[in-house]
Amino acid sequence: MATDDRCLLTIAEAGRLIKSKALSPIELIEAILARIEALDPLINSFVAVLSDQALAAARVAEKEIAAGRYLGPLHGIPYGLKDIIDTKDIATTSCSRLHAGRIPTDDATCVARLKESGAILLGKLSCQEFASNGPCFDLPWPPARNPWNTNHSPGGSSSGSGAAVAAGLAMAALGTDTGGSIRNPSSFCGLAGIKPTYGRVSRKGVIANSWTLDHVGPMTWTVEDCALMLQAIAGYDPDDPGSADKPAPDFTSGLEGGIKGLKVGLVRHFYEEDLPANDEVIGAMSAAAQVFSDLGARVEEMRLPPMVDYLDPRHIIGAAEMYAVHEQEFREHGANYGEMIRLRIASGALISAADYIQAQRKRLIMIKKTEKVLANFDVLLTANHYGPAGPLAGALKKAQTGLSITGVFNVTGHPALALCNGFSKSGLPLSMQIVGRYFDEPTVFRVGQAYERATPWRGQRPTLDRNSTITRAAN
Amino acid sequence: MSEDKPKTPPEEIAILVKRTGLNLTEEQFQALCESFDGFEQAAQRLRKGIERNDEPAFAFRLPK
Repeated sequence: MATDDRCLLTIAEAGRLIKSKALSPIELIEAILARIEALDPLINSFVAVLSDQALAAARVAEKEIAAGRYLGPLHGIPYGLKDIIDTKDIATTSCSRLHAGRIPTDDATCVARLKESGAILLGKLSCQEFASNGPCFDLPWPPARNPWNTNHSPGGSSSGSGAAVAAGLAMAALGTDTGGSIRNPSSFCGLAGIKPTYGRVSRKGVIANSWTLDHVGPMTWTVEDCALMLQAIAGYDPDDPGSADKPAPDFTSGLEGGIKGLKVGLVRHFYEEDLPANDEVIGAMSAAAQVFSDLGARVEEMRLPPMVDYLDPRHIIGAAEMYAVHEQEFREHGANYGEMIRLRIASGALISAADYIQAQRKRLIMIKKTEKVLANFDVLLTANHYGPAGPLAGALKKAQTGLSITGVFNVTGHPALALCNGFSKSGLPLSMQIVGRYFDEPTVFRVGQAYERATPWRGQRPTLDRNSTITRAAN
Repeated sequence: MSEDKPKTPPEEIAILVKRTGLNLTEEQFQALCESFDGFEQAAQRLRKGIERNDEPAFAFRLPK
């Protein structure tokens, strides 16, 4: 197998080869490190590449596997971490000057669990400062770029995570999602990325953005890989007050179950009325709904409350909590924050206690309304974003409030999977969201898997060429 | 709260900023004034439909 072909294997494929000893973890890590060295300068997805540590871990993995101590499907699999997730003795910068020299003394729980699974950390991935908004051009780290077109944004705030996985520089990445920060880069980079149910994955050791809205989740090339990653990191953590005391089910065993008879609620008004998407997104959504029908699902158009009813409390809660997270450091070291996040934090300072509490009351109302609707369906289907990735320079957004299809499900905490559902005329990925009931990620994955198997999108990877900007290329 | 609450003028926002103890440049303050209106509108809108007995979400536990 050619060097680059190995880097473009899925986790499931690589895992089978590693288990059967047909693929050496050392050779895999060497190949992917070489690919990172060659291609990451084009997309700036990594802030730190941990070559020595990764190779050392690969040597350990190879020995363990040879001795019959195979840990499971992630053993020997290379992954990256959004750089707001703590790694013991390894710098975790939050892509902020403020944390430039910060070395955590403990791994985040999700990192410890990935270690136990045998997965191999390649490095820390670029993100928007403190998982806020961006892109940020005034930081020590240049913003990540979209591998499908390096003049375009990879989305954020898990920007490096999205870019690295799409470019084949990591087989998986962890991101975080407070308003769409897993799903938007997954959308713009053509990945499968899940914001799990609130509390499904521990946030201990992850720098907080908003305690009410923060989620941790995997970003991968395929749905199956997403399920494999979630399997490793999900589960109760008594050290995270928001952690759900609910055992993680088997996320992968039902993947091939099909979706015949499943009830799918199509939330069309989100992307045709509330926040009108461009024609390509609308077209891709109609085509996706047809695929679901052709696979035997019962697709029915339905309505949730208007998007603004979800996003108003989201903005108040998110800004107020972000200010609370940063209050002291912002007062003492405000100049060390980048321009984008400075405005967001300052906005949160002006939100009153009454506004915040009313927002939390409204949040509960919205949760109940959503639950009432979702009781009639197995999953909901809606768009992920109103268009493909925009130009990187033009992506700078100072507006602190606004509508977003992804933010709806941070407010309610339902699991939401972003999944590629086509490409724009300019070759950029389009995406949709599959939203499930609380803790029903298995059904969300089953639906995503059925769609992925029935469509050709996984056959297209971005082609990165050192000597030119990227264009989309078919495998 | 009135449906048609007028936009908070910059001088009142300046008082709010002073109370927080934040030091902002003039440019940062102007940007904040622009974004503050969006938050005020959100805070006003979200109050619609809240009944007296409605509790905040932090009193709510997701079903096990």
